[in-house]
Amino acid sequence: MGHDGGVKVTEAQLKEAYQAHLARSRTDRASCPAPEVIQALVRRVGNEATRLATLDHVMGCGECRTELDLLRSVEEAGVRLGAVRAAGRRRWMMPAALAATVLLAVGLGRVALEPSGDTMRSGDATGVVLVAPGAEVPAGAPVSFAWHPVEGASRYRLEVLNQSGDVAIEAETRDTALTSGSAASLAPGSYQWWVIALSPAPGPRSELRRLRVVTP
Amino acid sequence: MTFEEAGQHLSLALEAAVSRYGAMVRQVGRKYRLDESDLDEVMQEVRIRLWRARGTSEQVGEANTSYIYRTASTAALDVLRRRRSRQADRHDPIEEGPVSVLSAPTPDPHGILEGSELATKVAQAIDTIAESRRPAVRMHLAGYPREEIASLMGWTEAKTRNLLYRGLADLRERLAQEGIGWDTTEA
Repeated sequence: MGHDGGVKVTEAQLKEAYQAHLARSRTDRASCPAPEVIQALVRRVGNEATRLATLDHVMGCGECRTELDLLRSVEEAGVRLGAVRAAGRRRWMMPAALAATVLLAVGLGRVALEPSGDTMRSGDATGVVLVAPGAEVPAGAPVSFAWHPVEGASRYRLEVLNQSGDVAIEAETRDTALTSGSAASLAPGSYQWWVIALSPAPGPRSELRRLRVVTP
Repeated sequence: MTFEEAGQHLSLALEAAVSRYGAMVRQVGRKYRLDESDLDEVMQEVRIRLWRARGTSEQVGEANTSYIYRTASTAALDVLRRRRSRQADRHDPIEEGPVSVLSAPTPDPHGILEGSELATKVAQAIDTIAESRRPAVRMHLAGYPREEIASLMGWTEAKTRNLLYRGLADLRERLAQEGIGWDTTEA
């Protein structure tokens, strides 16, 4: 390792030393940039000189670096899900695009997500199995909904969503069937419905099923 | 309100959208090697905020990803502010004691390679690099790939490569002045 009386290190050793330094270093947080300033860096808001200065501090401060990565995670999730444009191309989505996002979110039951440790489960088509009604029901009449029981469920929540993804009908029952009088007031059109098992925390849910309310 | 209680009061569609967002945040967070508990804290804050807004906001009834994103952005800021406030309240002084116990009483000719001294010299050398190049060098040494440096600063690949190349050359020169040679054959 010796080199003309000094030492010789590899890049890997330099990185290791620097990362160890970051882990050990304790900064007076009062001198750290505010979380909003770090968020501005993530969003590439502000001039480059300011962002460089922020980045210089953040990359030399272990705690700010963790904060940066947390804010980046929130931001990048928004970009990946289409809620916001990538940094540098930011502009809030227009209403039409928003509607598409809503429909995308409503269609979650069909989206295969990577397994996660979330307490709340994402769409689970193998959970509650829907039985009735069929694809069409007449307008102006109560609608009977039914599904198969789920082991461990103490209650079930039914939701009927309109085309915008808003909840048009919401009801809970201990039973595996529910006749909704409110459904009589649904205007003719396309809806979707699903059921989630509660135990009492939200558990498995059904697929999102289409329901067309038609003029008799 | 607990995590589970807040979730029970969100509509199915909204809860599904929050879960989906939370799953994506975790997925990205893993890439950055973040502690899951940090992400949990943010998503719990999101659920509580949505629950509190229920009945007062039309948007909260919708499975609106943009709305959840905006809620998560502000929730993350509040989580960080609270955390800093707690750190300030703790008054956790760094004592010299443990460090002096670990330090060798006499200079060790090989000690420079044993962590802290090399780390200190590297950190000091980085501080002398030109401001425009320094952040790229810090990110590189912290383990971020070049693409992420470019992405964060909005630089082209060429600009990033140039700044990093020059910054590392500066670092090599500063370290050489400190008697530390940099073996570039491995990198």
